[in-house]
Amino acid sequence: MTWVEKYIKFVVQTKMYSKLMFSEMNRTAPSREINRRLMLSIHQDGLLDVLAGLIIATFGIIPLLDDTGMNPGVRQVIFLSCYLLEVVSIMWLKRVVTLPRTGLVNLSRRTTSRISLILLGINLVIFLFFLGSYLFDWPLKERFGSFQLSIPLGLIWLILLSSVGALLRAMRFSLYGVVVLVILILGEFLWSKGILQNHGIPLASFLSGGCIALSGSILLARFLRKYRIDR
Amino acid sequence: MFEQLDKTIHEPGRLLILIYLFSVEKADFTFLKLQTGMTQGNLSSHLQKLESAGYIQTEKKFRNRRPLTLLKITEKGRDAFRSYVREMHHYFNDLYEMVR
Repeated sequence: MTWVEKYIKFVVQTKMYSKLMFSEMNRTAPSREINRRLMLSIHQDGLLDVLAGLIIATFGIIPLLDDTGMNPGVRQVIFLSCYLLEVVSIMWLKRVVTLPRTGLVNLSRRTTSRISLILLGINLVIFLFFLGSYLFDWPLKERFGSFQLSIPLGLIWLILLSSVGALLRAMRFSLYGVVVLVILILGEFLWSKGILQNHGIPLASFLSGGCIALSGSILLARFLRKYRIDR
Repeated sequence: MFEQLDKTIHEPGRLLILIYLFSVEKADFTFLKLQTGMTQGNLSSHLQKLESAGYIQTEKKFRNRRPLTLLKITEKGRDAFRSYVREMHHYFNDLYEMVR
């Protein structure tokens, strides 16, 4: 046997060669497919998209509430009540609309990766800190007028939405994050030209949140057409 | 050769059910029906066999006046599933060497 034949024989016996040659066997792993389907059962109704859109849009009322000259405590109550109402409404819709169609499932801890949860947790803390700074008299508040708001705010939304997307394996949330960032920067630009007020945040938030909520509504409509309730 | 394989699990429908139940804490009948694509009768029949073998447990209750059947894999079911997967892995490893 020549050294070439020996080399070929050696290569053919390796696992890498088998993987390359028998690549038709490399289909999606069943566990990954199951995981994908489980995550899909959580967000395919579009309600999470609607909630994300509403949360982003509601954020835009903060500067408007500031301008009313209302008591800070009242402003905070109004703002937080809006958030509470949104969350409760979506949870109710989930129970009434989604669960009868898709069934109930409690995911196990193995389905969600620890890193995704930690990342999501960190982002939530950052968001709450940012929100709290704006709502309450925290040290960061006095700095808000002195630097461009849209970029850090947009980045926070982008990172938060991308984390949610990574957790749920739904890449469209990353796209939503990009949309929010771009619209916020555009809003700030128009504010710098004197066209908009309050750094353009209210309009940009309503617009970007509205787009996301609309996308969620379309998904919801599609979901309702696809899944019927078993009588 | 395949006598050791658990015949309760070694059926595509029941295997698929156990794969789902192994991956979650619990799920209801509607969820399993949707994910497996089985008919109501077919799924009920498989669930009955799995419950008789002690591999799953069923909890029936009502929610908003609608019946709700929650299903959960038992520890015995988890162990049986793991053993089955290991056995299949062993068999197919060997067969793969044969066809390579």
